[in-house]
Parts: sequence; structure tokens; C-alpha cells
Amino acid sequence: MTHYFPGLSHDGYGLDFLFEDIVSVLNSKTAETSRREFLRTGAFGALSFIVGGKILCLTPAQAKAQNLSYQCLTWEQAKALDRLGNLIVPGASECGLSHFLDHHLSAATEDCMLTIRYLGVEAPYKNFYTQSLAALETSSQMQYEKAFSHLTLSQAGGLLDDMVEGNPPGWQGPPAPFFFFVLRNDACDVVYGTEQGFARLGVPYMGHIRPPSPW
Amino acid sequence: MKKLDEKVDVVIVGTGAAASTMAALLAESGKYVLMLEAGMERKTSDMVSSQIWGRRMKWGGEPVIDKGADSIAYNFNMGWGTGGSAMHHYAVWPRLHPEDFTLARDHNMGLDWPLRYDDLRPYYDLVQEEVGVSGDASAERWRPKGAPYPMEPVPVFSQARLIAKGFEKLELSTSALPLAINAQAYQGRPGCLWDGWCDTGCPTGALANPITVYLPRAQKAGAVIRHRATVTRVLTDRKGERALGVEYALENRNRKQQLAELVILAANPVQNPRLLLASKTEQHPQGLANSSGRVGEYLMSHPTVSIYGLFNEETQCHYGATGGQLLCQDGYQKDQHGNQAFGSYQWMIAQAVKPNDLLGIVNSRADLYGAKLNEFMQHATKHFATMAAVCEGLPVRENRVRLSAENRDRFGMPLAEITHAFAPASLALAGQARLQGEAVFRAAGAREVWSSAVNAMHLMGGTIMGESPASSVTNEYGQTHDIANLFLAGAGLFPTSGGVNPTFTLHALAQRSAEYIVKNWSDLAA
Repeated sequence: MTHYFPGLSHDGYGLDFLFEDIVSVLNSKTAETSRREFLRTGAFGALSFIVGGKILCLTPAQAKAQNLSYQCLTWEQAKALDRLGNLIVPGASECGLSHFLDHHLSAATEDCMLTIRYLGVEAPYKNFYTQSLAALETSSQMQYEKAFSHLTLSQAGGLLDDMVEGNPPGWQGPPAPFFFFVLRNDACDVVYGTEQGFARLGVPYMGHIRPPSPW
Repeated sequence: MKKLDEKVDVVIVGTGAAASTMAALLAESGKYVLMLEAGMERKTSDMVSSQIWGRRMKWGGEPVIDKGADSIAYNFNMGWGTGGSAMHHYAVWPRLHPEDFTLARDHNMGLDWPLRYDDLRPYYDLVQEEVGVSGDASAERWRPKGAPYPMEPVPVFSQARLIAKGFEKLELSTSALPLAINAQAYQGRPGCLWDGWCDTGCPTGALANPITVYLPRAQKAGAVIRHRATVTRVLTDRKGERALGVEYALENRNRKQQLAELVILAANPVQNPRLLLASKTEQHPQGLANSSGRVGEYLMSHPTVSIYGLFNEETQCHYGATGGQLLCQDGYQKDQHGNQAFGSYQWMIAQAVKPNDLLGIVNSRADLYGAKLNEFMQHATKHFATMAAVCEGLPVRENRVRLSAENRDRFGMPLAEITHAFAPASLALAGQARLQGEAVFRAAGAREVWSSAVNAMHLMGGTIMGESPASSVTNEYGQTHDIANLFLAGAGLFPTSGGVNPTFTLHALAQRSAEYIVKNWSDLAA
């Protein structure tokens, strides 16, 4: 099947890409029912994290500051997401991007609040991220013979520039520009889409019902 | 009160705009109504003001396989849980025009409706009085005949004032945008605060949605809603002549049957045909109500283009309603656009925007990242302006919903598979709208102007109404041609899309259908 993803082509400014059969790339299912059931109950509070056998409700930024463990991402995956996210939207890591993603990728599909929910990608969405990160690592190794986390800032930025334009050499997974688009939206959520983010931009929040957690 | 497992008078599939309207009217007429909702229960307290949290309002059910050249953006356009898609709708409520009902007759293109504007006009008037619509009928020089709006127009902020100058310079007209949002307190619901959180679900009741208007009326009159109940099949008698009720699945996958005198399918334009096709029997081998073979066909969407601009002045672009503040329908004449474009379009002008999300400021420039993105955001949040064209998507028979041959949901029901591509004349229309919109922004003094790709807005068709049982699924009341006590409701009935938002029209149709059912109950009931 072939999709033109809606919303990406902008006159003179945009990304305009075709992605083919992304669903088939992502069709492997994982069973994490019990974990999701637990996290579903925590979805209406702040993000729930288990620390020393206790459930803590923290914001992604607080979780990041406390260096808390992840529910479904590995440390390496989280580190790569934070690094790439920071290059896309400066400050994303400090705002807790990886914990934000980890929480929602662990949640039941209907409780997931990531942009990817809109985009026609088959759940579980974790597969999309892990396959994209694997492609990022392969491409990094092929171009620089180093893991993405060991690239210099300039090298990492160069790889990002390549991803925006198309699949970099060695990339095998969801289309790189699409992964860029998805992660860019996640990073924008934590940096610009919170009450603090609005304040940083000088935009009045004016919420009727404030988000139970700041993101 | 009857037990749920007993036979009810009416079972309604869905709790969205059409479902809730029909439930209220039928329950108030004394019918015992049960509504089955596949998603979770939603309350006004769930309507968190956040673009992130608002995503819970969007589709969260079984996947829909979206094929074809132009995606219908199903997950973005459709809703999930109590109230359905209307919970995140923008409440832009213009009427269809008389010429939208006679497209084939007048232009030998598309289809005709089995009713005319004058047939629907009293129901538009009735709905706008019951629900409350803000606007200025006298300023809408294109507006079809009808009662004036019951509320004064919504306020205009600097974004709208700036863009309006461009329309004026190009000798184009604007008026207040008709919105089902209270400009002041109305029918016990408060006036709007104009803070731009409409699309995340309005918790104040100022914006008319199912859980603030028709569902409370339905429940007060005795209607019952059962959540987490996924209807998997419409049940029919041995001869296949009458609907007996529906089969539905609970979360634990147990199946139940609900018998009813009359069945109304009021799910969305993809799920209604899916259910009919999945309910095939020996007597209805192509699926229920499908002797014409039209079930699933003529699925439509509005091609839409957004215009973006940066102004030197501050635009206050976070104030107002998500749908916009002003309207222009100068592009409604269908055959005057040139460049092989055909159809009607309107502008929704000066939409309230937030920094993040798919339609947020960040994605107007999806190419930016790093320091340039931050620089853009710091500036654009103060100087950004936008408007969107709603263009007519012509009905195309090949745009259709089918059952997947390979993929099933967790209840064993085949998934819906969609094929959709805009007609070339509709894409050309969106192209003409883009040219006009960019010209308007330049004339308004924007120092930078750009626009989006063509995207899909709203879903319609798939179970069209028509005069002939040979070429349509239902009659003008949503009653299926094949089974007298099986009705369909919602935008899926539309044979043409017009160039306006569909929610007002589907409410008017639902009012008319409910009235028909009440009037003819003795014939319709067993």
C-alpha cells in the first residue's frame, strides 16, 4: 500500500515524502498486557514510575532529573531519543522527552497521547520507535563507524540533516523523514505544549481544566 | 425501567451527533432507547485543556486500513468514546446550499439528494434554535433562506481583522463565522471565553456537543447508554426482511444480543458500512441493505488547504474559536473557478491555534528544527495567522469501504479497508483556493505567506441516500431500501459533500428522520 502522509508538504518549506507500507514494517505484536493494565490506571495522574516498590507520580522532567528507570525503553534507546530530540527541538531532553515517550509507549493504545496515534501507524507504537532507532544505529555505524551516542555533535547533526531529506545510507526501517516528523512532534509536545512551554513562548495558557500533569 | 437484556423499542449504534439527536427525540416521544457505544465513557471533566490530552478524543478503536492516493486521515478526523467525533468538532455550522442537493441534475456530475434544501430548511431552523448558533445571517450574503441565528456573532480578534483587510482589498466578502458556540449564555449553557481550546473537547458547555446538548435530553427521557459495547452484527429474521436487533461484544469478548423493534446505525461513515457488510446472510449475501451494491461506496472527504502568514502586527492567534472567526463563501459557485476545478469552497478565517499538535504552529513549518525552529516559534506565536479552505470533494464511486480479507479485530470482525483518492476536479479546486488564499494574505499585508498540502477534512458518504433502491442505500429518511426497520444516520448518508462543514446538516437530517420514525411507528414496529 502507498500513502502520502497528510500535512507534510508545504509550499516551499516542507517535507514531502512518500512512505510505503509502513504498517507491514510495524506489524509485529508484543504482549505487555499486565504492564499496560497497570499503567492505564496511572494514566490520569502524572506519569507513574515505580521506585523502590512504590509508585511515584512525577512529571517527565522530574523523572529525567531523578534519572528514573524506563518501563519499555532501554537506556540506550532512551539516550538516543533524548539526543536526537534535543537536536530537533533544543531542550527536549531536559523537558523529559524520553520519559514522556516511555510512559505513553507503555500505555494502552486508547490511552496513548502521542501524535503517532493520528498517523495511521499500527499499534503497538513502540515498534515504530524501536525500529526507527535500530535504523538510526545502523546508519550511524555505516557512515561513521560509531554508535549514534558516540557521534560528535557535528556528525549527529549531519545525520539528522540526512534524515530530513530521505533515508540516510544504511537506513532500514520506517522512512527516516517520517520518523523525524513523529519525533519532532513529540519533542514539540514536551517543550512547547505544556503550561511551562506556553509560558516560555509568552502564550497565555487559559486552560479550563488544567492538565493533571504539566505535559 | 426495563432490564437491558429485554427487547427495547430502539437500539442505536453510536453516541455521536446523529445518534444523540435521534436518541433524544425518540426517547422524548416515549420510545425505550438503548445506545451502544464501542468506546469509553466521557464526561465534561475529561475535557482537559491540552493539545496532548485532547488526543484521547480521537479514534482509539480498531485500526482502519487506509489505502489509495489520498489518505482520509481517519484517526485524526474520527472520535472515540461518548459523543464520538462531535466531541472534538470545531462547531462550524454553515448550511448546505440548495445547489448542493442537485449536483447531477444541474451539472451532470456527482449525485443528487432525494430531498431538496427546502425539505431540510425547517430542520436547520429547528436545530439552530434548540442548540444555539451564533452568527450574522444578514452579513452572510450567500446564506440560503432560513431563520436568523438565535445568537449574536462571535467576537473578532486582531488575527481576523488583519486577514479581513485582504479579502476587502480583493473585493471579496466576509461575515461572522456561524458557530454552534454560545456568544452569550443560551439554554442553560454559558457563553464562550474564546480561549481556543475547542478541539480538545469543550468542558464548559459553551460549544454544542453531544454530552452537553442531546445526550442529557435523551437520558432524562429514559435512554440508556452502554459503553464498551462493540456491535459486531445486525440480526435479521429468517426471511431477511426485518432487523431483529444487534449482536455486540463486551470487553471480555463475551457476546450479547440486544433485540429491538427498530435498529439505527449511527456510527461513523466507515464503521456503518463495515457493520452492514459484516452482517451478510444467506438472504443478503452482499451484506445487509446492499441489494444496490452501493454500501461502502462514495466515501467522501473535503480537500482542505491551510494558508499561513506572518504579520508585523501582533495577531493574538491563540484567542477565538478553533474553527475560526470569519467566513467567506464567495467561492461557492461550482463552475466558475477555471483551471478544470469544479465545486464549492468556503474559507474558515482566523482559526485559534496553539503552539503544538498536528494543526499547531509548529507543523505549519514542518521543515524547521533546532535553533531555527525555536526562533520561528518565539516569533510566530505572536505574529502568526491562518485560515482554511473547505473544498467540495466530489462523490467518486471507487472511493469505498470494504472488508479486509486478511485482517480481523479482536472480536473476529473483518477490519475496514478504505480506498480514497480525490477527484481531479476537487484537487484542482483546492489548488484554486490556495491561489486565492495566498493572494488574500499578501493583500492583507502579511510579510511572509505559505500554505499546506491538500489534506482530508471530515468524512461523508459510504451509505448514501437516494431515490432509487437500485443506486442508493437508504431513502431520504435514512431508512434502508431493503429493510424497513433498519435506519442509518450521520454524514454517511450524504450523496454530495458541498463546501461546508457537515455537522449542522447531519443534525437536521437526524431531526427529520426521528420525526418520520415517530410518525410512522406503528408501521415500522413489528
